[in-house]
Amino acid sequence: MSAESVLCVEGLSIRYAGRTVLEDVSLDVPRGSVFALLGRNGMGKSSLVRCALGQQKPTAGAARLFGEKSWTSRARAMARVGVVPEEPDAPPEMTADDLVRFCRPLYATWDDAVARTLLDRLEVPRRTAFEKLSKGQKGAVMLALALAPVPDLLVLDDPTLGLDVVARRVLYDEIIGALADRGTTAFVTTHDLAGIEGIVERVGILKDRRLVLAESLETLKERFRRIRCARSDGGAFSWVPFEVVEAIERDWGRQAVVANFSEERLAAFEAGAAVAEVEVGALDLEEIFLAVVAPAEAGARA
Amino acid sequence: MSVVWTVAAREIRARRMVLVAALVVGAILSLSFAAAVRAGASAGDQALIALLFCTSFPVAIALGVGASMVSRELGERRLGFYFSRPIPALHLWAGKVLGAAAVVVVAFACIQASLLFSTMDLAGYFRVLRVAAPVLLFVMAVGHVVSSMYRARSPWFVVDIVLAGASIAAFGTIVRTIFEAGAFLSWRFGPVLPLLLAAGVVALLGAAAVQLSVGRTDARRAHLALSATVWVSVVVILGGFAAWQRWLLGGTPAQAGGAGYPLIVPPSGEGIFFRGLTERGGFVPFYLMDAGSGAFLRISPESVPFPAFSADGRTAAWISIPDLWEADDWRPRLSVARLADEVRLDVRMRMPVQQEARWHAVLALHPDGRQAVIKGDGAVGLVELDTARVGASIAQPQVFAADVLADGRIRLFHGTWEHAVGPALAVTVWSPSDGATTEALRVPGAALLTRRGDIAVVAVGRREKAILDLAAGTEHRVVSVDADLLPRALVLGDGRLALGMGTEVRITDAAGTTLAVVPLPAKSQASALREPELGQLAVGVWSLALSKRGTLFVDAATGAVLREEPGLLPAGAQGQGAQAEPGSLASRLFTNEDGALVALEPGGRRRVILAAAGSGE
Repeated sequence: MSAESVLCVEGLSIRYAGRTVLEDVSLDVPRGSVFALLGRNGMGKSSLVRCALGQQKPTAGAARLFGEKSWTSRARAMARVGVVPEEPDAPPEMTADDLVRFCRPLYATWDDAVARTLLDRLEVPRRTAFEKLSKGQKGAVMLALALAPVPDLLVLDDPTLGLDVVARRVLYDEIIGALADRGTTAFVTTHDLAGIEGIVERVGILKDRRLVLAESLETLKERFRRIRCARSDGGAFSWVPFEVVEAIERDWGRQAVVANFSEERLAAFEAGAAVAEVEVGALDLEEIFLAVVAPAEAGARA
Repeated sequence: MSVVWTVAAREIRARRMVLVAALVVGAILSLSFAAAVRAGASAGDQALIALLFCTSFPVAIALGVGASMVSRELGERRLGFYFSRPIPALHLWAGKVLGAAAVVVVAFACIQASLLFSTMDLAGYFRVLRVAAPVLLFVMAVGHVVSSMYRARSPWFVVDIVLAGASIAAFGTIVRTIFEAGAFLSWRFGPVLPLLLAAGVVALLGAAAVQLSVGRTDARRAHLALSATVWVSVVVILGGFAAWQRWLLGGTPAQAGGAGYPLIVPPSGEGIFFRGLTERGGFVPFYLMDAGSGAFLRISPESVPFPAFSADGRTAAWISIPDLWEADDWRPRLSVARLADEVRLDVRMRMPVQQEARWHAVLALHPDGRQAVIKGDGAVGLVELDTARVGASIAQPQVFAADVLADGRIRLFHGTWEHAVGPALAVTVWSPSDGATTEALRVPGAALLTRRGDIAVVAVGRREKAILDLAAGTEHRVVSVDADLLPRALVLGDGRLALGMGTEVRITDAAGTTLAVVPLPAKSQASALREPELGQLAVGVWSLALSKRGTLFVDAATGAVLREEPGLLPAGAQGQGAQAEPGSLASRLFTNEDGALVALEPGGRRRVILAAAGSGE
C-alpha cells in the first residue's frame, strides 16, 4: 500500500458456502485517480466493493480505506466516502427530500446545495417516494446522496446498470464534474466500458476469480495492440517476440492481439521471415477487456 | 447519539401508518365498548372483547414491526444504504430498536386507550401498559429473529427450527415440572417470569446487535451471528431457569424450618405429613415423611392434599384437585403413598367423576389396606386404592370423620340439622355390603373432640363435654365451671379420659366420674392432650397472654405433675383422624419455641425431627 493510497485491497479472498468468488486479489487506488474494476458478471466485483466498504468481511485478506481496515473503521471511513450502489437501496417509502434530511446530520461536510442542484438538474421529483421513481431518477438520487457529503472517495458499483443512454451521459458528466472540481478519487465497477473510457485512469480486470491485471489505461493501451500482416511465402511464420493474446488466420492474412507491444519488438517482428505489410492498430478499452477475459469471442468478432 | 435519533425517527416515520391504524382500531374499539354497554353486554362479554382486540392487534403489530425491523432490508439487500453512511452498527441497531419499540408501545397505548374510555381508570391504564410493554417488546424481538432466520434463506434455518423446537420443549418441561410440583404461584408471581422476559428481550435484541455488527450486509453471516447468539443465550437462559427450578423444588424437610399447618401424624408409625415453615422462592411444599428413615415425598400444595393414614401409619391416601395446568381434566385424583425405607407414591390416577358426588377427601383407610372411605359433595363412598374404583356409596351429607369397624361396617360422624333442635352431631353406621345405614347417636349442638375405639368425646357448648359410648349408644355429661376456649379431650390407653375443663384437666372414667384433677397455671388452658407413654399424660399449657407455653407431664393415675417442659407444646392438630396410640410418634411430637419439631424419646431424650429455621441443625 502506497502512502497516497485511498483504497487498498490486500490478498483478498471471498468464499460463499465453499464456493470461491475472489482469490487473493490485491489492488491499490491512489489519491486523485479514477480506478475502473472490470470483469464479467459474477466475477465478484460487487462483493469486492462491499468488502472495500466494510460492509462484508472477506474470507481472507483485508481492504483498507484511507489506511485503516475497512471492516474495523467502516463508520469513520464512510464519512469520507460517497457510494452509488449497483441497485439503488434507499428505503422505498422515503422521498428525495426525506433522504437528504436523513443523510444531512450524518456528515460534517454535507453540502445541501450539491444535492439540491443535482436533483434539480436531473429533474428528480423531490416529494415522490423513492420506490416510485424511475431507474434513472433513483440513480440520480443515489448520486446526489453520494456527492453531497463532498467525499474524498467516490465508489460507484455499476452505476449505469439499467440506465438509458441519456441518463448514462448525465451521470458521467456529474462524475466528471465532481472529479474535476474537487479532485475526488473514484473507484468504479462497470460494464459500460465505452462510457468509462474517457475518465478512467487505472484499470483492473477480474478473470477466473483473480485480478489478472491492474495498471494505468495509458500503459494498457500502449502494450495491447492489434497487428495485421499479409501472407508471405518467405518461410515459416511466427508472432515472436510478441505475447499473443489471441490470433486468427484468414485469406487476406493474419491478425493478432498482443499484450506486450513495443516499437523494438515490432522492429524485431518485421525483420523476421514471412512477414509483409504489417499494420498496427490501437485497441479501445472494450477490445482490451474482451481480449483479456474472452479471447475466443474477441477473435470471432474480429 | 444524534445518529441513533436520526435512525429511530426514520423508523417511526416509516411506520406512521401503523400508528394511524392503531388510532383507528382504538376508536373502533371505543365505539364497540360504548355500543356493548348500551346493549347491556355483561362485564364478561366486555372483558372478552377487550381481551380479543387489545391483545391480538398489538401482538400482530409487534410481530410485524419486529419482522420488518432489520430482516426485510437485509433480505432485500437494502441494508447497504445504512452501512454506506457513517453510522456505527450499534447506533444503527439502537436507532432501529428504539424506533420499532416506540411504534409498538405507542400503538398499544392507542389501542388500549379505548379501554380507558370505558373504565376511566388512568392508574390501571398505565399499570397495563407497564406490564404489556415488555411482553410486546419480547414479541417484537421474536418477530425480528424468526423473520431474519427465515429471510436468510440459509440451510441453517433447519437447524434453527430444530433448536427452537428443542428449546420450547425444554422450557415446557421446566414449566410443567414447576406446575406439577405446585409452585405455579412462585413462577407466576415471583420475580422469575419478569426476569425471564427481560432476559429473553435482552438476548433476542442483543442477537440483533450482533447480527448487524458482525453480519452487516452479508445475510448468511448475519444469520449465523444471530443464530449463534440466540441459541447460546437460550441455552444460558434455559440453564439458569432449570437451575432455579431445581433450587425452587429442591427443598427438603431438613430445610423446611419446622412444621407449619397442617401437621398430620398417623395414630402409629413414623409418618408425618406437614407443610414447611420457610419458603423458598415463595414456594412451600407439603412433605410426607418417614421420620424414622428420613425418606420423604414432596407434594404439591396447590392440590390441597389432606391425607388419611392407615392404622399402622404405613399407607397414606388423599384426593387432590387437579393442577391448574390440567384444565382439560378436572376429575379428582386419588394418590396413595407407601412409607417404607423410601416414601413411594404408588398410585396416581383419576377417579371417575360422579355427578352426585365430587369426591374430595379421604376420611379413613380400611384395615385391609385396599380400600378407603372417601367423601364428596353430599356422599360417602368406598374406593379401591389400586383401581380408584368407587365400589359402594351412599348419600350422606356433612360427614367429617369415619372409622372402619372390625366387621367391615363404617361409622360415620356427620352433622345434621333439624328445625326443632338446630345443628347436631350424629353417628351413623353404614354397611357398604348391603347399603344399610343405622343412626347410632345424635347429640344436639355437639362438636367431635376425639375418639378411640367405641368411645368418643364431644364438646357441647363451652362448658360441657359428653362422653359417648358409640357401641351402646349412651352418653355421659361432664360440666366445667370455667368456659373452654380450647375444648380438648383424650381417651387414655386404659379406657379413662382426660378432659380439658377450663382452668383444669380432669381425669375421669368412661361414665364421667372425676378420678383426678390437674390444675393449670392461672389464665392458662390446655392446648393439647397426649399420652406419650402408657399411664402418662402430657398437657400442653398455653397462656392466654401468649407469654407462656410449656407441657406438664402428669401421672394419669393420680394427676400428679411429674415434670414440666417449658417451651414445648404437643405438635399437630388432633383433628378428625383417629386418636394417636399411647407411646406412638404422634403422641410424642412437640414443637419448641423456635418452631422445631422434636420427638420426646423414652428417657426424656429429644430427637429433632425437623430443625427450626436458622438453627443449623
